Amino acid sequence: MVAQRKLPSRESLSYRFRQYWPAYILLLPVVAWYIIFCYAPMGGLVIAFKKYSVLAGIGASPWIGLKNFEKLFTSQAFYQAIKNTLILSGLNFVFGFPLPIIFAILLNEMPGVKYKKVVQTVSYLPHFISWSVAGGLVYMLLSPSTGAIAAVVRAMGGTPQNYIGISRYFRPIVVVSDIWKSIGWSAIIYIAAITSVDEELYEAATIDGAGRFARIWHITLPGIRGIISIQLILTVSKILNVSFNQIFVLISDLTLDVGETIDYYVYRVGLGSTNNMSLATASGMFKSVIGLVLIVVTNYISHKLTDGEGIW
Amino acid sequence: MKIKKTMGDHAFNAITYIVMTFVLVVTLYPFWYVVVGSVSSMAHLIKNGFVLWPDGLHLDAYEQVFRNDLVPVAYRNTLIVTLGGTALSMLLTILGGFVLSLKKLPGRVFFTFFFVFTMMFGGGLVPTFLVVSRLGMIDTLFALIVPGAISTYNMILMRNFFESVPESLYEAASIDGETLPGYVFHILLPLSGAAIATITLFYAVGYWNDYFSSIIYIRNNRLWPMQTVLRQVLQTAQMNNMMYDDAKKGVAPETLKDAMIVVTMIPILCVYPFVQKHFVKGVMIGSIKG
Amino acid sequence: MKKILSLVLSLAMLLTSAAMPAVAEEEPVVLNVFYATSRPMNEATNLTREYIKEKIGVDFNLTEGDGSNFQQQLALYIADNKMPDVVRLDYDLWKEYAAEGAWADLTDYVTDEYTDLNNYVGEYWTYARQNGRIMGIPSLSGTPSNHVVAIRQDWLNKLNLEVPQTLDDYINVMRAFTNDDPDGDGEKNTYGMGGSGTGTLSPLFGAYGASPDESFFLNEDGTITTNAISEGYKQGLKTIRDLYAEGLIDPEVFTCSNDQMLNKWCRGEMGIMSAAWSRAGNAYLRYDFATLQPDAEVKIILPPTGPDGESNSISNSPMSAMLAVSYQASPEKIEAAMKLFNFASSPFGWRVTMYGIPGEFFDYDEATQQTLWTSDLNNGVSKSGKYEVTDMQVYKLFNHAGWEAQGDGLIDAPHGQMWKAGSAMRFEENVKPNVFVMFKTEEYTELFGEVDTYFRTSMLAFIMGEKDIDAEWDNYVETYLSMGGEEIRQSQLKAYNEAFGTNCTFAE
Repeated sequence: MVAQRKLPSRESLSYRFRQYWPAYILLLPVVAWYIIFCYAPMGGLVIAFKKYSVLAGIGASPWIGLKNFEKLFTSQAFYQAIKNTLILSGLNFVFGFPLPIIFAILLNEMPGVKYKKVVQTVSYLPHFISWSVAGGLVYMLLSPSTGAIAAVVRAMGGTPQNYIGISRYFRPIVVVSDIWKSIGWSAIIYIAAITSVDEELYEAATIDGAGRFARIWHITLPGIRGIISIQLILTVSKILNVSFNQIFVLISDLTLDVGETIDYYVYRVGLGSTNNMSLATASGMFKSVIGLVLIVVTNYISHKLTDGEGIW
Repeated sequence: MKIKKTMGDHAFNAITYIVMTFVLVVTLYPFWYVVVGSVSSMAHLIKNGFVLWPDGLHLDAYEQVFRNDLVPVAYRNTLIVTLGGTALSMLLTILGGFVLSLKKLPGRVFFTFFFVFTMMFGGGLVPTFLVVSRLGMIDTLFALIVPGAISTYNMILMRNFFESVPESLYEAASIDGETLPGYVFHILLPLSGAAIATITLFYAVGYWNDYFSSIIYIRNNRLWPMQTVLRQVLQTAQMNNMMYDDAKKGVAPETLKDAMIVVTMIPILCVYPFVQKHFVKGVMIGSIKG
Repeated sequence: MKKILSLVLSLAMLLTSAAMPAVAEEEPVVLNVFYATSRPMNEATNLTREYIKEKIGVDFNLTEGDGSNFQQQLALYIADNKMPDVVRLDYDLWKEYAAEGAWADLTDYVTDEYTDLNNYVGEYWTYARQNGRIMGIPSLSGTPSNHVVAIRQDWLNKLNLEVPQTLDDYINVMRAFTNDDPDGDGEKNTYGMGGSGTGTLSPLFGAYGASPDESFFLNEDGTITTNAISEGYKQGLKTIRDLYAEGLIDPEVFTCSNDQMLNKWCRGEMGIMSAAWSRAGNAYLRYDFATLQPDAEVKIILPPTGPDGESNSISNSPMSAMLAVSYQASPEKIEAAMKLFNFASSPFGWRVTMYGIPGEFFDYDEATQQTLWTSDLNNGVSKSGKYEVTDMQVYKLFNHAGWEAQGDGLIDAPHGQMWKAGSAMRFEENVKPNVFVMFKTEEYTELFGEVDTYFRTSMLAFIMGEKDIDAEWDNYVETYLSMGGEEIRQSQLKAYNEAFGTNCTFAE
């Protein structure tokens, strides 16, 4: 027993320190950057509890306790905004999360290198079109007077409606347009991950008589499991975030009931600039806390389910 | 090796082709629309909505874009920021990603959490601005690079790619007398082509598309990047729509806007094919084993 | 060696720091002006700046703010303790910062010697005061309303209709425009009226003496009507609901943007465009309207008169912006700023800030106070042919609708007449001003966002028939008031009565 304690085990902390100390030096600039640009400004979060006056500065602005939070949580519209955000995020998650993975896998399965590259390159183009331009296209597509959908409806003998202004169509519009804009871009990371899957495994599986789906299921997917679980954890933790720019260009007073997200709510009710900043910080803090809880929980679950895959 | 194709395989391929072609058409259209818009007459666009072809080749809009004396300067700024920024970002991200990928590193979980925490909590606009100002970066291109140099998301991705390289490789290398930095640059990086290429793309596109930093940190319009000039052209276009008779002058504001978008987009689009070169199967793990 | 070096260095530093203020004193005052503009600055605008500098001896430079992030940019300047000397910003934001003490007190600087400025501001100094002190210079919008109605005269001719005057006329015309195929293409693809947003409904509400916003109207008996819960507003809702249900109003009106609205107008999808003057008044100018609608003839007409003889057009805030001087500015800088303001608000100086240097971009007739133009300018180039006319307006600090309304540059052009007519129409419309518009109380800032959303979404629900007007009206009024509407209007009434020494009460 005594001898064992004295002998440095390869797993002991001091052995590992000795082996890895240069790593801390490599990490130093990174940590310094985080302290300067992320942690130092974090003191500014106190304005969530203040009546922030730009002129007085953060320090001298008067404390108002939980008033900003009170304003949020006593507003019926804020709860509706949380609900809308959750529904939109949920739909984005159910449809928007798996599609880039499927797209990447299909692309990988495609014979014909050239066509594959063309599809890959083109699919990421919408990422470069800003929402203000993309929103215009969505509007054009759905317009009852000139839109393509209206033309189809008319050809089938129906009367086109102003789809963008009808609440029950709003969520599908948001989800589909988001997928359209992001599928190629989001797939890049999976495409890159698939390239790291060992080719020999495929060959061995084929010799064993595994079909296409078996190969995808047993080799490709496990091969990119690490990336998928990271994406999954991060997506879940961002459940209270829906692209503000997208909502901003698509929403109107007619669809406020289903389309108003937390960020849009803060934008709408925060009239004055200074008033707005405190309120935005308060709502941001609320989102952060929820996000932190979610990331810790999903990371824990991921660890349990996959023996060790996760963010940390 | 030749794999025998079954009927199912053929059907699968056919479906894949159909799906992919659909994706191709749907994702190409917005870009195509902007390109067509930039060389068409406004009347053509208004009248037909979803146009497929331009009604001629009107290059006046491009002429006007390049007559804007901010454009060449802005191009230079964007290039400096994108190249310099991506280099700095990659350096920091590789360092961070590598260190976090060392499974036995004491404090690994702490550091990871230390970084990930900032994905949730940020200080907000004013305090971050004050930090950048104290560092004397306002009205310099550094302000467009340094405050956003690390994306935690990219760093975590990088770590994940590095993790797929067996750690025993490092142990072996260190026995051979290779230092830690030496290991990273001589052994690890050459093995991680796809990952490096992907993350480089993410950063480069991020820097290229960023306009908000310059709105916040840059007052001197000679230091504006392309995206900010594009924004100005867009806003001016909107104003001109209201005030002036543009038809007479030949270039409709919308057309000018489209031309500006094309000019801003093209260079960064050319990066992707270079990245794709690294998406070749089996480079990474295969070469380790080989 | 090292010691000597450090000694020399510290000496040099001492010297320079001592010399700095001396240098600064000799330097002429340069005003740093900050406001949101997206007009490109170039050689021509630089010449204009030089011209102004020569003319009044004030040097200044302009920092462009971003249209949609201006508030943030200003907040960052202030937080960083580097406030620009002169800021041009909207009235509400000015008021908010005035309450915090961000602006220099101009009361003692506004003297009689600045005749042009005093002439320009006139009765509006009241609104520029914070606790009795003048804290900024108003830039006036100059028109009681900005909303006009444009109609397709050629469609009227084709269908043998007169220019509509009463609400019933309007409805008949809208019905004919919708059902009688005014564009003659054999398809039912036109609407009586179109526009962008609820503002489009201004002429229809106006026929009942109401408006599509939360205005407060002063009645002859000294009471104040709350538009949002008034009988006129309710009647307007009913009429609009029926017109909407009948399909006479473009269903896209509440979702399309201004650009999309103008595209529709160019495609000939609507017979009446009800919109801001800058859009409807420019109906001829926009895009390739002439190309797409070669036979079109457009007229700007008055809004309809309702059953009780009422007519109203949605009112404008009298302030389009405020110009303020930083509380950190030195007296010299304040003096310089006042000189600049005085010049920019004079009939001649305003033209310089609007059009560029005289002789090159315009000529000015002192006697008639008219801008003179040459045909070159109508083609978009300056006299020497070196510059584009659209480059201007960079230094325009003050609005002046009256001068702008001369239709200046476009008088010779075929559509210049329309520009003038449209602009003039704004002054002929009957407008009930919103008397509370300048009283942004604390309650207002706190609650208006929510209340206004309720107001607007309810308006749309009533119009689209999702809520029954007769059955739900009382409930709507009660909710509107209890969710903050009452607090806002009482606080505003108090502020109004205090400012004007009146004793007004609410009509309801």
